[in-house]
Amino acid sequence: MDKFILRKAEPKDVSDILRLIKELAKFEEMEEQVVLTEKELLEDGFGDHPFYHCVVAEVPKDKQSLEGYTVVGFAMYYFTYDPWIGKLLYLEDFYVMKEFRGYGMGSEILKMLSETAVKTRCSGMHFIVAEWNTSSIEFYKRRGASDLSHEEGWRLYEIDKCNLLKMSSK
Amino acid sequence: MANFILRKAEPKDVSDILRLIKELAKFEEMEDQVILTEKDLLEDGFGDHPFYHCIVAEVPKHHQSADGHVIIGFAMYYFTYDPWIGKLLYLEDFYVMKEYRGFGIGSEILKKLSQTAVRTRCNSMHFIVAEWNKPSIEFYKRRGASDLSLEEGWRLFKIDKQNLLKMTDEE
Repeated sequence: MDKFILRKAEPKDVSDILRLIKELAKFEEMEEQVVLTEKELLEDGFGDHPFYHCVVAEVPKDKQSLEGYTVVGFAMYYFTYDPWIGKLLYLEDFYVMKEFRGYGMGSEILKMLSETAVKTRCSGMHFIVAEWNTSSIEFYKRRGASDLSHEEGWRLYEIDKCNLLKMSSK
Repeated sequence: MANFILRKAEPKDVSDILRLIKELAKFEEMEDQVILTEKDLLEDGFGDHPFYHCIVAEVPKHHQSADGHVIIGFAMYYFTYDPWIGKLLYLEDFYVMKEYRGFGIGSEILKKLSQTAVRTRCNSMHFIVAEWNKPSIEFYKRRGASDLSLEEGWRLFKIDKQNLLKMTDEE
């Protein structure tokens, strides 16, 4: 199975994107944490000001998945800003359905993202990986990725909505 | 010294923003890594599509810093997207000059950012902190911040330009 295309996601893809987001979250044992809806994905990705961009991998109908899907992989990204070097491409989610792995889709997606990054004059690509996800870590390290958490000691923090409201009303 | 205002940065602020970015980088012992220029900051922050937003803290002229500056603090942020919950406000840089600390400027900046986040319907604010930076960690924890790296084991990775180019050339 080597036939697939990569293309920019369109509004019609939001239900497949949400399905793949949930599959990836399930793999990370976080499936119930996905509260995002198709409506939000549509408004946030395809309105006047997109908050994210998506690339999808599609196979021909005769190669559809067991449950009948032709959109079998995706990458969600957006642009961030490093005050030392400027624009970065931030890879937020990246997933290929299990039955379609091993055919180079992941590599092609990453290559497409690299081209996008270079074309938009980004200084690099950033992303986070769970420390237990050794196969993904290896995948990225083979492509020259370095662990900034390790090298520079950065830790990711969050202040959730509840605490934001507390602060904003003080 | 209780007199200060917080306001949205304007194009005229880019040289102060760059100065403060470099001061903060110096504190993190990374000053030589700042290769960004005022021109980049201007194009990237004040063009048709801003890649970042900035709030600056300004004091009156009679309270200017030892070297004569009135812009004495800033926060740089942008919007990111979490595929599970949607929009987030990402706090990228946050700094108040040493001589102006202890007057609540940092707290006011964070409050203003919280209001921005809530107003733009963000679900959360994210940011990274160096693990050795105990005073900052405490500052954020007092405001309800939780360490996702600790709780969820996330590690930040990068693929630099050189390796991106390598990948684009590969057949």
